[in-house]
Amino acid sequence: MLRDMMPLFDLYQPDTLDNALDLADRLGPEGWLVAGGQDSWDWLKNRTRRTRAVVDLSGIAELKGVRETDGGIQIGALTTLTDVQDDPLVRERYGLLATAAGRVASPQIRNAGTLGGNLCQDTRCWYYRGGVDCYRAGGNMCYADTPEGQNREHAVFGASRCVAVTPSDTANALTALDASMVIRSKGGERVVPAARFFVGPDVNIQRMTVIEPGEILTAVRIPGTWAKSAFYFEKVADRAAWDFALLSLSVALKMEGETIRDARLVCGAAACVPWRLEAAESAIIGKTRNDDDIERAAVAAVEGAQPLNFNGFKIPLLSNLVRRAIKGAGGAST
Amino acid sequence: MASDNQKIIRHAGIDRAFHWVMAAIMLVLLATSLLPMLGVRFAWYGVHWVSGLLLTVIIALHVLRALFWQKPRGIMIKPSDLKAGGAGKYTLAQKLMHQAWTVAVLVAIVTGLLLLRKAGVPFLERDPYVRSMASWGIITLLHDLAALLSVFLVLVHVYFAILPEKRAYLRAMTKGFISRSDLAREHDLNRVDRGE
Repeated sequence: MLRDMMPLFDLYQPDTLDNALDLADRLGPEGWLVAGGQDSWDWLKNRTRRTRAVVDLSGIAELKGVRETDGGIQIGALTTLTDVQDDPLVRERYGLLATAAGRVASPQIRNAGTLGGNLCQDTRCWYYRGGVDCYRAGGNMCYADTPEGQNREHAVFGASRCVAVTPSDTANALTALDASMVIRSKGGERVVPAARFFVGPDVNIQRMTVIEPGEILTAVRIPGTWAKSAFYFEKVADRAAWDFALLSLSVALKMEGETIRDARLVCGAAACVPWRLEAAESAIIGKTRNDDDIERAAVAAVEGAQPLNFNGFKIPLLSNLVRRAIKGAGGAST
Repeated sequence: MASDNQKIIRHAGIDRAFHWVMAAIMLVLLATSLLPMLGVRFAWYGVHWVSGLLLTVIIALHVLRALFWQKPRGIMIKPSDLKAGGAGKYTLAQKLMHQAWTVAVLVAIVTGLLLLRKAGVPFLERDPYVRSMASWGIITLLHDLAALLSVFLVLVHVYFAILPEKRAYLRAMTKGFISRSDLAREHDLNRVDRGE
């Protein structure tokens, strides 16, 4: 396989959003939108997927940068992960996102990879990425969830025929922060809450977000609701860098003295979408961070989990993460 | 001598219940399988396989009732059905419709139950390797063809059910009764009285 050679395609490099939207509209499903390219180039170089045309969005200046909005912030979809990690406004108000962005892959990839790309990237199920005709690839089978399937990285929640998980570290942080995604098309703009932006296989087995052909994710809006809360982010992976999560957990706690007034616990790499641990949230809201309630939350967090043959370790791991996160939120994030 | 307006029982309450429950489940099955293909996105799979299992149970009960409490030969096609006005309880068209439904539903149920092994349900270990890819392809094709046949049959069934001249049958399936005069249009009342 010619892994180092880019295949032939028509390359479009719009420098304004309007031009990009024109192209996206004209090319439809035949136009492959690329931001930082950290996911796309793999697909194309491996010849697992082919496209007639690539629309390189990286030259659109208006989609880059962080700006303050009414009570919150708006981050352009083409802002690099390094810029998200280093931005003073993000660090001051939404340390959770800064930490999550800083745990993506490696410094080189964070320099090229964008926030929008990290959110829209495809799953890393190796059967799917390897080009087999699984459900997600339009076929009629899941090769990961079989008696012999290698599914150590796969889902323990929300599987429906396909057991792939979201690989995004920033997705669960943004879901915890009640962020919204701004999606533009020739027809206008729609703003979708993070909780509805990501799509599980039960709803659409071939896509991971609600973005349709002809649409472009242009920005992420984070309201002030969770600004400066007590945050915690932890990513567990086989390697400390340049690896996808086996599990990650984003936690935001609104504290009133010693009492937890509100809580968000959102898990990554446990389902195809960022998985909110609502039962665990309920177990700690209105409580102090005492051991009994933390234990209840740790147990509640894994209710309904359905392990596959090789990923049972995710269940005690998630419980442990929840314990650590609730105790550690507001301190130094891991 | 029975009068023309005398109402006779055509479908007992339990049979009407079977019919309408089967109809509702069939519509759920068709909606959960076809709407996603038309771009209506929702979590269809769980509803689909649970409905499929429910239909299997209902059909099994229907078959048991037909075998032990009714006369199953009444639904079989006989030479006398080909004679105009010579039908027993069911006309030739009604029998053909029932046979077509039997084929569509049985194929859908058998292939659907087989597909559960591949697609996955909580109570059954998922193992697509119990069959070859070609076998899965054929099973899936048959399941889909049964679904398409069901769509066709629903359309035909509903069309005839709402035709004014067939309205008496629809009333019989809702209220249970039909008048002898309505029956006499297409049925041989002697055969009906003999329970054929």
